[in-house]
Amino acid sequence: MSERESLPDQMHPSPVSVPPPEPQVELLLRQVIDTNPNFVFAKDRYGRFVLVNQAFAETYNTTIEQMIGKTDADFNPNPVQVEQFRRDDLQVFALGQDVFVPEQRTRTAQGGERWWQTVKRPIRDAQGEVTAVLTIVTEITERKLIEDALREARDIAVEASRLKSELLAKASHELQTPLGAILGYTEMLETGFFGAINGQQQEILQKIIGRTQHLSTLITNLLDQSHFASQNTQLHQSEFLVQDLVRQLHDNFAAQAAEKGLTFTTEIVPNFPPMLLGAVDQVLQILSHLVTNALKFTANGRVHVRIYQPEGPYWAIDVQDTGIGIPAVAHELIFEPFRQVDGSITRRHQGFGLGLSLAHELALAMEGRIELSSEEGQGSTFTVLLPCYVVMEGGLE
Amino acid sequence: MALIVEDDEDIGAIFAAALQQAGFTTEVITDGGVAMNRLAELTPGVVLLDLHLPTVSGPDILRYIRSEERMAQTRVVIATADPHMADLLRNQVTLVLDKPVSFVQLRVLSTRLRPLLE
Repeated sequence: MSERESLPDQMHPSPVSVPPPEPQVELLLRQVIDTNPNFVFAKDRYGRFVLVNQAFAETYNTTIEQMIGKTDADFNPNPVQVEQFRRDDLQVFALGQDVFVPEQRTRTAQGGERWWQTVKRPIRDAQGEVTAVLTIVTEITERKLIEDALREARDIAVEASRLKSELLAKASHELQTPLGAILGYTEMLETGFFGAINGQQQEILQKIIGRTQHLSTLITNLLDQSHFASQNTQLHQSEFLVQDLVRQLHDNFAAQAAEKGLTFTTEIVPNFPPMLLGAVDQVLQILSHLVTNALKFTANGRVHVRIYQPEGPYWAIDVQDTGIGIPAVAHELIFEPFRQVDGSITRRHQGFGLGLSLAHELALAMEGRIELSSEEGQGSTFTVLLPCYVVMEGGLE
Repeated sequence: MALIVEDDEDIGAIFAAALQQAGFTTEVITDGGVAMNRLAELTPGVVLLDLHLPTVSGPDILRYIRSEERMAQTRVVIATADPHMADLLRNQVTLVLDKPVSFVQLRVLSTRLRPLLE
């Protein structure tokens, strides 16, 4: 097929012929397209306007009657744009399919920008032949401005959040330094470095040391929280023995539990795989936060850690306590940072309420989750569910 | 000999006391640049290093120590409240201590380090 045949004959166009609709329907349709603020127009195979609405004629400071039968080139002074419009129209004729241009920018004489969205759609005759292409152009300048403003607002918010995290990290760091001096000097006094002390003095100094260490832990948690908020924590995957994990947890918390008169027990169900692959440091961190939380909110009874395999691709760790429990309304809130169940409890229980939020974020980062089952006064069970990768002897499963 | 590089004078004094009780002679330097000059002229058995320091940072000092053949046997212990930065350096040092460092803990640790250096 030669080019001449493939393209419509520009030299000898046939006259414009659109079958007239019934007069009252035509009037109605006329009003529909003329009250439309978008540009609505249709062109035939030769690029001649066969339909133009009021809004479109007005942009060229002309009338509808003046435009019918003429082409883009008669009104649009920009030959590049005229060429582009013609190409888009021919594509609709050739393919018989819609052409959608989501965004197009034009410059105004005043140097401003206007944005447009265009859809071109084939109009067919009774035989299914494409006879015209309908174009609807919608101005989206306002939407673009809103989008830009939203994007800018989001960037500002992200930056503010990053700065806040940085400030928090810096503040935490600055707080640890004086604590180091307080702790060190107190320990020197307590160990008799500066001379003998009596039993009561020693007892008081030990209390100062205990309180200082606690304060330091709070600050460390705050730092971890800010670090989490500011960037993704690196998860280092390694093979680990489940028994080692449990032993370490026991070493870390047995004494603390005994001090409060609580029993701290651990259990791995029979036939649980001895070796897993995972971010063991973060698993221990999650469990430490949960056990710390359980010990904090349990006055008497026990804290029990149980490791087992539930249904599904997970392994599970229950941290169960006989403490004050958590009312159902608070279940969703409890994993948010800086949250404790109510003011009166906050006063009785120290801490920022960061532990559970950190545990929650760590579990999510490991593609797991933490579930809570608890009722006020009935104790709580936190269940950590983590993806289970069993390490078989001699390699990965 | 133990060189303590720590910008907080009190904490430097506490570290020195713990190391002295374990039998080390000590010198405390509070500025990173001064520490670099001092390390050019002496070879300590132990460097107890803070990471956030004025003029020259802890990681830069560590890089210098590790680049000098004569300090190949020098044990570096990091004391920091920045566990995330410490994680990046962990494989280049003997030990990382989280601040606040316990005086008792440091004394025990120094006592253990002492025989390794003789």
